[in-house]
Amino acid sequence: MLNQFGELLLSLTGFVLVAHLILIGWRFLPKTNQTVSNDELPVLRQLIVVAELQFALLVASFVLLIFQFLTHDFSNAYVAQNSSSVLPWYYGVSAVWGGHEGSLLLWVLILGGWHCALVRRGRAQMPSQLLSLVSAVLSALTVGFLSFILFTSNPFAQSESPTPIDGADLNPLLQDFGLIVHPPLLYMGYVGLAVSFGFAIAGLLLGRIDSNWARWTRPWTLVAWAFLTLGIALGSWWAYYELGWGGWWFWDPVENASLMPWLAATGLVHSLAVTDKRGLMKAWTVFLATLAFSLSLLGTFLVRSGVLTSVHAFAADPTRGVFILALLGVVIGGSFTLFALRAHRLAGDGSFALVSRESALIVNNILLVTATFIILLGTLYPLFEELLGSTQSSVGAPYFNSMFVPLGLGTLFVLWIGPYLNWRRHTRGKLTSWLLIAVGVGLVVAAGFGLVADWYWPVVVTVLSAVGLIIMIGLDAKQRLSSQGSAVQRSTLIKRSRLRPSWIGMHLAHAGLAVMAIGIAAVSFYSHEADTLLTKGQNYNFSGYSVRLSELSESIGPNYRAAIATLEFRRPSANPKSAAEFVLRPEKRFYTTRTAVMTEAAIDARWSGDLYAALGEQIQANQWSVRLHTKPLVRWIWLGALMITIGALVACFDKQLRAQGRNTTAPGLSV
Amino acid sequence: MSRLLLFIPLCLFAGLGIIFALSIGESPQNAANAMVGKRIPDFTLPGFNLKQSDPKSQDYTLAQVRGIVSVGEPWLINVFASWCAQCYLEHGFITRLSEQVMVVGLNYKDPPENAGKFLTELGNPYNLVLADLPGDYAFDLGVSGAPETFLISPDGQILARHAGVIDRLVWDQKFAELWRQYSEPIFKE
Repeated sequence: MLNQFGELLLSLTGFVLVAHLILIGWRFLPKTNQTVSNDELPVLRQLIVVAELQFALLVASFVLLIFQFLTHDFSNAYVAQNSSSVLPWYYGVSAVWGGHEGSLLLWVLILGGWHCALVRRGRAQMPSQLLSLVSAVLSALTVGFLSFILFTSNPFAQSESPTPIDGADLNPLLQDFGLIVHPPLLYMGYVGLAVSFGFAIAGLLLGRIDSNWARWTRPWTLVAWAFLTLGIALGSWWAYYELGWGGWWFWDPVENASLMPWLAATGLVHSLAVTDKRGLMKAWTVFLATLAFSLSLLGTFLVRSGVLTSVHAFAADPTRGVFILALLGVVIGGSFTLFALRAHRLAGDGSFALVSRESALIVNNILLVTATFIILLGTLYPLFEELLGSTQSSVGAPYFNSMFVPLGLGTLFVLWIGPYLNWRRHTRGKLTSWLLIAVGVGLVVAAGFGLVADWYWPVVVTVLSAVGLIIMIGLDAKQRLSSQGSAVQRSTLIKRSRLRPSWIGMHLAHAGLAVMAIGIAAVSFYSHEADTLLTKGQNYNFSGYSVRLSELSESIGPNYRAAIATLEFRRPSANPKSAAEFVLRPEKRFYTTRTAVMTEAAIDARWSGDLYAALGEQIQANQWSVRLHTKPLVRWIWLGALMITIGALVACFDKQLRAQGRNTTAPGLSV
Repeated sequence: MSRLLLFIPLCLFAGLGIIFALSIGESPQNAANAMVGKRIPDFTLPGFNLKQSDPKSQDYTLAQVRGIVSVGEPWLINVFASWCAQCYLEHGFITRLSEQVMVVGLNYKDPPENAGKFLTELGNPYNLVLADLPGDYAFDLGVSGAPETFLISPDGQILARHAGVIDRLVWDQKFAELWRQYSEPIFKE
């Protein structure tokens, strides 16, 4: 009964949006090239009503599914496959997006949310023509995904009769806080890029892309990019503590699938700045917006179709693959065709010198797009190889690392000077003396770092690039805060106000990248690991600690049994009877319904580094194999990602980045 | 701006789309499932030696392996590798499974030292481990990647195949019934 109601809600949403599309087509298509007429009011009213109605319907269907999970309604096949009566309620909620069908519903729900937010915010600012077209693009996407859901992946499908007494339980890997928040955040990012994509398509259709277009697009792109950053970082953190083998990034196809749109979106955020400030690189910006969203879709495709398998690939079903491929063909193929036919109208007006902010941003874009294609190639390599007739192999971490280290370092060094160059043509400022300071301090710190820890060239160069970057930021901040600059600087730098949110956001994000780079370098080169057999009561020396397995116990969770080891860590000099410096309790969980064994690592987390302990196998009654890792500075990686996220959000608050309100405010608009 | 340049993204995407379409048509799941119902191909593969000190490892043929693991019982071939992230995930279940089912591990495209580390760290659940460093035998089996699991009948027929992590659900859906059917006593009625 509830299942049919859920299907009805989804179909209804589809019909509303199809009607919306027809109405918009009727109103606009014949006069795309005319200026906006005075029939704005009914258009805006329709936009708002539809945007709110479709979102309300989607929320209702989503809430219904949550309700079915919480009430253990196993007449719903999806509920029966992804939960059980002993699953704790909070995992019941997150189980909604733990499988293929539900995560697609979440995808569409978030798309509906972005659509609604866009129309609500845009109605007072954007020309109704542009807003209608963006809304039409989002509606069409929603319709496409809704039909995918209804025809191939229905989360409200009826269980086979008789109704199961209990469900199959949620995959234990996914029974974790990280999974409650990771997919929604990631999807906020993926789907948020649909808004940028909508703007790109609307811009192509209207043949008009200018500073205002860039200013409307920019905040949405920044927010989506912030979510994407946070989502990827959370995924990395989740893999780190949940998978139990201590890595934070695996170059797994699904991780790559999320990194590609991130890199393209990073490029987009920067090229939008050029389009906004100089009215240049318009076609390129439109291309990046299309590319970023296409890669988001590809991400969905890679995860969901079973073309490539990975840790996360829960669904492998060729019919779905064909449907997604058709959807991708229409969306991506259609938009690139439009791009090929229309982008030549978007010629830029203006020029710039070789040494200028524009050039630096172009270098940035080249680096980011190169990185994107390197990942695309590496991720799809097994497919190429298979088609060429050889057997499948996977392109592993060595390939990606060897490509990414130079690109990453290159990016860091470009960031030393890029943000301080003038638009159009760089006139000499204090940059040379700043660079000398940055190189000097950077070399001293990097050499010191290399000498205190072990000397590895990649680490030393990374520390140099990161420290220098932060010094440059500090020098810029100092100059902006002090009013004693020379007349030239006053006119070029200070005139454009001092510490605006966009300035803070940009530098916070750049510093975040530096922090992340240091973390990555340290964890790659200074991690220690040991696998050892520990007998109860026995001491073991590991990385400056004396480790003792003091206790073995068992506990019973709601849907699992666990073996827990208590590991006491002491400095070897300390009295063995004194209190332990810290205690770790790694677990081995046995999930009864799914008969799956999960490793719950225990981590002593500090800014200086983590101590990570995971249980291997029980060898004897009082003996376990235990894996111990040190992970120096590993938190810095996620701290850096957090800084990038916050930076992006802070930049959104800059009023100068936003377009001015529409000149003609529609009277009496109180819908 | 040359207008032809603007067609580059479209062409790249079209190429990619064709590759995807071909890959779906020949989805590894389908192509290799063609092996199901056929006899397991013959092989001579080096047995994997956990003790690195022993330089020479013994070669096994299919007949020898069947003599060791399958005394009139169905058995499993589990394709694994230390570079395969999912293999770590299914290792716990394979261990549990190996208490009741004979499991032969086929170490796939994996340097022996890494595989040795994998097995010593996590424990060795296999009744016998065979090394297939070039991946040739796995190719004969239609393996598209690790992990993959095959159920082999006592008389050497491939009964079922699963690409991806095997867990209790997969076992129950794809393997359990067949396994029970073939491992039932001969004189049942």
